[in-house]
Amino acid sequence: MNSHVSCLSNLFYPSIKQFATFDEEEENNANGSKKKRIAILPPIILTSLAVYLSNRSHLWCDYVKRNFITYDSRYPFLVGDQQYISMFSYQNALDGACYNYDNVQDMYVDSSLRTARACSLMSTVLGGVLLFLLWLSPCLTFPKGVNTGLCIMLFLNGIIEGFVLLFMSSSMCDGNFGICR
Amino acid sequence: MYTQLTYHVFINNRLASGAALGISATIGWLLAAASYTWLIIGKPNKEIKEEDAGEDENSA
Repeated sequence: MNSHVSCLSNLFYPSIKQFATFDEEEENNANGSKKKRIAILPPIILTSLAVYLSNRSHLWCDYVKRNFITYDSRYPFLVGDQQYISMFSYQNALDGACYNYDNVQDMYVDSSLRTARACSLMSTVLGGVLLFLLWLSPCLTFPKGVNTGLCIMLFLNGIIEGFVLLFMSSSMCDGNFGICR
Repeated sequence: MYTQLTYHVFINNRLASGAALGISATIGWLLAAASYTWLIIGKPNKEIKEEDAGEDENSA
C-alpha cells in the first residue's frame, strides 16, 4: 500500500528511496521498481506534451490563418484580409476577438469540417483518458491486455489527431475564396 | 465568446500556427505510442523481467 501511495513521488524523486531503505533486499526490489518507473517516463512526457499541443491547437480560434480572396456567401463572417479560424470558433474581423460558431446562423458545415470537429473532440477526450491511465501506470500494474490496448489507442489517437487537419480541405478553406495556412 | 485577453496572449504573441502545433501533437502521439509499445514488448520489459526473475531466485 505504501509503495502505491509513494510511487508518484518516487518517480520524480528517486533519491528519496536511498534514505527510506536500509535492508539490502528491500533496496534491490526498490531499484527494480525504480527502473520500471523511470522507463515509463518517456511515454508519459510525450503523451502530456501531445495532449497540451493538441488542446492548444484545437480549442482556440487560431488553428489556421485565412487570407481573403473573394467574398464567400456561405461564410458571411469571413470578411477580414487575414482572419484566424478554427473548428469551433473564429476571429471576428471587426474586434479581433474569438467567437463560437454558435452565434452564426445557418452555418454551412461540409463533411470535412464535420470530420475535423469530430476528430478534434475524440482526440481531446481519448487523449485525456490515455494520459490519466499513463499517469497511473507507475502505481498500478496493468494486465497485458490493458497495456496492449493502451498501445493501440495511443497509435489510434495519433491517427485521429492527424484527421483534424482535414479542416484545411473543408469549404471554409476553399481556395477560390481564401487561402488557409 | 473568448476575451480580448485571449486574443492578445494567444494570437498577437503566437509562437506557431495551430496547424503546426496539431502536426507536432500528431507526431507526439505516435512517438508516445512507439515508446510505450517498445516499453511493453521491447528491450526494457525483457531486462526488467530478467531482473525480476533473478531477484526471485535470490530470494528463494
